[in-house]
Amino acid sequence: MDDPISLGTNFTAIDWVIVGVYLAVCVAAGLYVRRFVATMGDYVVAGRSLNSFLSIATMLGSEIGLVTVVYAAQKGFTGGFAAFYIGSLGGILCLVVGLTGLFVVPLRRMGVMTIPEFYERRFGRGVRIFGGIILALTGILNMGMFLRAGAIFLTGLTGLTDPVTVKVVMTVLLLLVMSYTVLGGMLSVVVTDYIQFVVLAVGMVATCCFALSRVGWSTLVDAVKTVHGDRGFDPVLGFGWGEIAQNALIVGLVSTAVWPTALMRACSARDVTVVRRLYIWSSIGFLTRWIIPQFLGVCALAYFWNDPRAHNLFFDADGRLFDDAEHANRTLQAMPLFLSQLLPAGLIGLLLAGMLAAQMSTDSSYLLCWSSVLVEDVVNPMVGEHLSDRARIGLARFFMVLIGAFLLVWSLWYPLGQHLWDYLAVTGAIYFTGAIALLAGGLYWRGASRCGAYLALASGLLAVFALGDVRKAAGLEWLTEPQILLGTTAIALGLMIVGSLAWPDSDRRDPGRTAQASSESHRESLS
Amino acid sequence: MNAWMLIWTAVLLGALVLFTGLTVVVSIGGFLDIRTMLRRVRGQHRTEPGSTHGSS
Repeated sequence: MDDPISLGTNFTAIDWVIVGVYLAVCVAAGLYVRRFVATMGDYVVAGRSLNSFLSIATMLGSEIGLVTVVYAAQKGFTGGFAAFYIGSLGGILCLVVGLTGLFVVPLRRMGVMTIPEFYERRFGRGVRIFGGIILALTGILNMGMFLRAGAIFLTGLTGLTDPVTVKVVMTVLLLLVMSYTVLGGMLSVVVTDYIQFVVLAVGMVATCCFALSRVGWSTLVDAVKTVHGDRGFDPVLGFGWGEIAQNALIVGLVSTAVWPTALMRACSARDVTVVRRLYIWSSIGFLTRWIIPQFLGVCALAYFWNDPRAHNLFFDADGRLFDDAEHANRTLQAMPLFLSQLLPAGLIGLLLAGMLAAQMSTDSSYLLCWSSVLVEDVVNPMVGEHLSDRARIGLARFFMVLIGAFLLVWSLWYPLGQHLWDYLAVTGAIYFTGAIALLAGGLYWRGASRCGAYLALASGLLAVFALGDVRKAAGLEWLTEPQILLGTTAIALGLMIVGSLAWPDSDRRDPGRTAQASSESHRESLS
Repeated sequence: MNAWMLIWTAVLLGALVLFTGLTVVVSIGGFLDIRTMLRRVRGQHRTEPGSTHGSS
């Protein structure tokens, strides 16, 4: 793994003050709203009282995370303008979800708080517990690299190269997030997400415009042309159909309509009209959360290509970009390093505040999501739903602390031997390959059965073979990552169909009637 | 390559303009929504005698 690189930085004491003031405001706001939390409904879905604009702010605040910014910039740095296809797919498919209501509208009608709760209503309690365990474990594993991404960004931007200092800063940041998330749950998360969205959005747009004006459009185009050739513009040449199809599935469908942290926003919305509006408007954010960081990655490429001091950090003697697994950490550092050289004092502090905002809002949402799943979908069903609201909230807080401790250890120890995005895609796939089959079958096919659900969920574990080290150990290097992920999704869907046809349920449930009945029975208990 | 360059330029400009507009609208609307949300949550608790404010 590469050591942190430092080329000096424009980051000054003024910038630390800006960051400090921002963090204080955020934590104070998060702690203030904890007084409104009284029930598990308040804690997990904010009493289902989110209106459209707040839903959009909290959705984008948590989905535009620092980890997204860092890996998207890496894709722009290593792929050029062609990487813009990823954001375009994300925006278009999010819009399609908003217009059609795919998965999100029927789930909101059912009034569920988590995805595994839907599993129980449709397939029974066993599927809920099994699905909850898979979801929580893979989600926590997926989140394991978030702190690493934050540390890389912080190191690059501030010039802090002492690894101990960086770890201490990231630990303090996690503790701040946990303080308000543990106490205030979803209510604190949405209020802080709102503040974080505003700071982040202003910081991202200002940085993008500044970088464009300083580097220059023609310099960008020339650098991409020289380093990547036509592959830097044409996504089919640069990435291939396999990776495009994989990203259509993951960035488009999964991250908007299947990933639990996004679906929690749909479940927290006031009604289905708000859900549709949320997705239609958020499509702009799902486009931008990739495009702006990727553009900054392209700017970094042009900057370092023309900078004799740093050229050999990223390019070999023949001018070829270092883009192998060995240099994955180095290309991750390119964008923050570039910004540390380019931005003036003040703006650099605003950007770091915005990026820490992104990290905090994502961390808080994910902490809340996985701890809620462990309580609501694993522990509580196991004890026959006998836990009181107070016990459930207490248990959720306990799990948050455990997850926080795991994140610190995993972020420091796991050697990232591939692109960050690829790690996230693979760990997420263990959950979403099965989840797609259960959502599609459970919501839209009367014949979907419990047995099909178990088989589909279990088949998601095949996605682990897409991890570089596991693939090598299993002798499956002849398969590409997209082939394994897309193949696993197809297998999960196939097993759902075969299992349901071979072993149908005796008490078959109509998805439409289940949604309607659930909506009516839960309206009273949660309103 | 020229066609792709045109497309990506339009995508970048479109993303910047739309996101700036979205930020302005959501900043104002979101602030008003927070007030409504806290008022609604407090109202829900008043109608539920069993709920315990600040118990968490």
